Amino acid sequence: MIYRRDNIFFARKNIAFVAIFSVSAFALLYAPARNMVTQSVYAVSGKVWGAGDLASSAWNSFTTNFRSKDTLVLENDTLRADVNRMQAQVLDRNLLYEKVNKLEAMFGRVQGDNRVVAYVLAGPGLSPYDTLVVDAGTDKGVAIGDIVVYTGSGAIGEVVEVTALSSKIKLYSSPGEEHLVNIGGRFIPAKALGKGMGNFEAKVPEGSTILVGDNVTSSKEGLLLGTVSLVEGEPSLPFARVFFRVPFNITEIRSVEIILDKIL
Amino acid sequence: MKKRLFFDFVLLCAVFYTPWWFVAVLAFFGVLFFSSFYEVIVFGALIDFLYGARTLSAMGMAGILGSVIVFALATYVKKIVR
Repeated sequence: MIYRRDNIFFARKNIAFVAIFSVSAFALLYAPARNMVTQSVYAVSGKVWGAGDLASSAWNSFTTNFRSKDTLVLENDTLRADVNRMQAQVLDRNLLYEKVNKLEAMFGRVQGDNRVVAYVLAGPGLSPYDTLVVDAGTDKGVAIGDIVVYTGSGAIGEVVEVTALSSKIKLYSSPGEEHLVNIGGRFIPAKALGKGMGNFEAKVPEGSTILVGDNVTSSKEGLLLGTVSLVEGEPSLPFARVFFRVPFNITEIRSVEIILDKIL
Repeated sequence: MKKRLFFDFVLLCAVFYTPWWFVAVLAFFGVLFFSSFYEVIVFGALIDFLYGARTLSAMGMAGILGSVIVFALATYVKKIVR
C-alpha cells in the first residue's frame, strides 16, 4: 500500500491562500504597484470617509431632537464661554506673534512659510501605524517630508506619502520614532522616543530642573512638540525619565496645517 | 453565501470607520465562522494601502502580516474547538 504524505504547500486550499498573500505582498513591496493601487484606493476612499462624516452629522442632528431643553441650554452656555475664552486667547496670541516677528526682524532671523490647511480624513485611532490621512495632496503642492502642525505652532508629524488628492502623515509620536528635543525654560537637550497616540518619553540627567507643564520643542525646527506630564527619577539613578504629550487630544484633530517649503 | 457577503461588507466598513483592533477582532470571528476566509488577507492589505507607507514600521505591511497571524490563530482555535 502506498501512503501519500499530505503536503501542506500543495493542498488546494493552501495554494489559494499562498496566491492571495503573494499577490498582495508583491503589490505592497513593489513601489510602482503600491503607488498605483494606493492612488486607486484613494480615488474611492475620500468619498467613503466623506459619506461616513455625512452620516455621522445626520445622526447627531437627529439625536439632538431627543435631548432635553435644559441640557441644550447648558451646552450652549458652556460653548459661549469657550468661544469668549478662545477669542481672548487669539487676541493675546496675535500680539505675541507680532512681538516675535519684530524681535526676529531685529535680530535678522525672519521666518516665512507657506501653509496649506488640510482636513483629516482618518485619524490615528483607525490606523495601526499612528498615521493621519488628510485631504491635501500634490494638487496643493504637498511633498514628502513637509512638516505638519496643529493650531499654528505644535508640530505633530511629517508627510510620508502623497497622492494627487491626499497625504499620509507619520506622527512624531509613532512608536519607536526618535527626535532631538529641548525641554523646559533651560532648553535641556534630550532624545525623545515616540510612544504612540501623542505620547513621548525622554531621558535627562538626574537633577535637571524640569517641571510638569514645561514646554518641549524640537531641536531642529524649534516647534512645540508637547508639554511635560510626568517626571520620574530616583537620586540613586543617573537618569530621570520625562514623559510628555501633545497639548491636545490627538484623536480629536479635524484639520492640520502643512508647511510647504519652510524657509529657515 | 449571503451571510458571507454581508460579513465582508461589514468588515469593509469597519476598515474605513473603526479602529484597527476592532477590525482584527471581526476578522478573527470571520475566520472562525466561515470556511477558507481568505478575504482577511485582502482586508489586511487594504489597511496597509489606506494607512501605511513603505517608510513606516514593518515596511508598511503590518496589516497583511497581522491578517496572516489572525488567520493562523483563528484556524488553530477552530481546530481545538472542533
